[in-house]
Amino acid sequence: MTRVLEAEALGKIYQVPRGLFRAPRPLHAVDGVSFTLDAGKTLAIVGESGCGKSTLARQVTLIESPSSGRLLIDGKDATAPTPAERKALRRAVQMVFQNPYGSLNPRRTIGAALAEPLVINTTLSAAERDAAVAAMLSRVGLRPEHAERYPHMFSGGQRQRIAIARALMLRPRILVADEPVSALDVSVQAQVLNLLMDLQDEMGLAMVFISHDLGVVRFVADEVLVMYLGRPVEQAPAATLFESPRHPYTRALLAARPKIDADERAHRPPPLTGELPSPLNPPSGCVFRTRCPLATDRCAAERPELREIAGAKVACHFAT
Amino acid sequence: MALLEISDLSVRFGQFRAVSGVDMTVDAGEIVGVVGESGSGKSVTSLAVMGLITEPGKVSAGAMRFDGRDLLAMPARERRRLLGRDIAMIFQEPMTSLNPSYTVGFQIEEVLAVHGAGNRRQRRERAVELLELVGIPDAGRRLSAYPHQLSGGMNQRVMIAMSVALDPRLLIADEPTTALDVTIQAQILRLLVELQRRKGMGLVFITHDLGVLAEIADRVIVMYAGEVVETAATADLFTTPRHPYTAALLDALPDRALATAAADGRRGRLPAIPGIVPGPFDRPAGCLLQPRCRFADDRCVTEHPMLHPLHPGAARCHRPLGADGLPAGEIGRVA
Repeated sequence: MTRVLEAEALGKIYQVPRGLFRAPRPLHAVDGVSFTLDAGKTLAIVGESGCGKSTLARQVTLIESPSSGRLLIDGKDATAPTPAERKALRRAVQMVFQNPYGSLNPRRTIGAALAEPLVINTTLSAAERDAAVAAMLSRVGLRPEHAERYPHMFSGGQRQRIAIARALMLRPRILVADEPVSALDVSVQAQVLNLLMDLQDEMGLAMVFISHDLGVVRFVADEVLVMYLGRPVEQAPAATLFESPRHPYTRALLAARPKIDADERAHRPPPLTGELPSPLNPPSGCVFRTRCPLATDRCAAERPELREIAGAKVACHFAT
Repeated sequence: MALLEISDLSVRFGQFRAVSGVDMTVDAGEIVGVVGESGSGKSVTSLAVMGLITEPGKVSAGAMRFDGRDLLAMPARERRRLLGRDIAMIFQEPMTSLNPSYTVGFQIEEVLAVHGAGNRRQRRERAVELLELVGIPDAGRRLSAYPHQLSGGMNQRVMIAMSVALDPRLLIADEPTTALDVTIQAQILRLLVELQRRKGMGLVFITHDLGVLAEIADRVIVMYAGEVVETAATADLFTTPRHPYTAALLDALPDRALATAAADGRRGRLPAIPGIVPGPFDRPAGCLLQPRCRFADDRCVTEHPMLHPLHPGAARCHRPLGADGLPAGEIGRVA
């Protein structure tokens, strides 16, 4: 198995300005995230708004560089690349965004949008580019003649197929998908998820799949990383995580999902109370303690580090 | 007598029928879920009930009665007075439904003032009470907060406070939790159901999420391309869907598919519904689901199915599904 992505204690601090005469305040958007990802595998990053999952995606896709830690793409250091290195590395990592309406230029044909990565990064002739575009369109379930059309002529699901096609034009090693199906209807969501999995198997893509929907994650992921306020709270193979969630936050997330099964509804803990604390002023010790049913004085005083329990890594003093 | 009674409701925008032939009743103290994908007409239906469809939209209905009073025959001023007082609505995006330039206190008090409830001091007291009712801590101080100072979940609580300010008898909630995180969604759902029970309101809950309806609804109405395709008690709908569309929607949920995938060991694929929801100008002949339906035959292509009563429930299908998930008997074939 080829390791294509490796993150070691990644951190990102934003300086939030507070006006002209006050020093900016640091915001730890991502703090101490480590993971590895092999070709053909899917790592899901799960959490609610403000948990740092999108910041993490921006680091993996080299849109931003980490403030601390180390990032390796295909064995090459991507923490602080030179512009030339960055350009080369970016071919290896591509991204699909949540909103297929906002991520395509309404004034350009689909063909032009798909050909652009080839124009910039390759020396293919116009005819070769057109052939590549046509091939990719049919690969994602659209017709070659769709290349002539504009984004508004497509439905949401079709646009997401186009966005996926564009991301794959350069045959990347890693695909970062940030909530790729959450704007889509259930019936279309299933089509797009199937397409992503087919393409992944076919091209041996490593996928970083960012989502708040645990049902979807359970279906696509090999490995799951649960984050809360920028910190990893639990990290485990998908089967382990869903069968025996160990962190109280993971348990709460699973319990909060609407359930169709009446038995499951009957046996579930009460929902979490309270709101997400401000990331500018996170709680001391364990960041989850203000909403945690198990919290004690120790949680306020001492920050729990990830520790290994039966194949999972859990950041909780009381997890067993 | 039902609290809300609609029969044969249609909404047209020019040539396009966004909603056609919808029947719906809601009793006091009942939660009716309306589920459908984008373009199914579920939101347009609720806007029509609220009288919020404007030109060029045209609303027609056999009957549209609230508490026995004919909403269509009623003068516009009188109907306007019902809104907010007897029938209230909550929308999907709390951030865009609230006015960013006024405090939430002002906006809640405005609802009370418009409907002539109390003097200024009483209105302020009532606003505090309402914020406490929807679980906003430190309510007195939050009155002077602007929407951007509150989280999405808090803003949705404010919207709920506004909607129940005058103790409406019918609340229409259009995707009220879609924009929220799951743990907050669970809180808001709990709050809505608790308020609905305590006040004995009728609640119409519109969503694309079948899971949410399994949690809260008494009855479910499934819509597709502007039509009601199935109605059923919630428990029946999830155990034995009668319309192929409902069945396919349930199968496409990752949770359900997982059980099947686990069986063959390999990472499975979801049983997706092929094709897309028809748009305004490409609706098929016959049954609207027919090009995407795995059970469609020649009759489905030519003859538009009725919404057949099935006791219990109803399905718009020539051959509704039985308990085994396959078409049972054929209804009313003209030889």
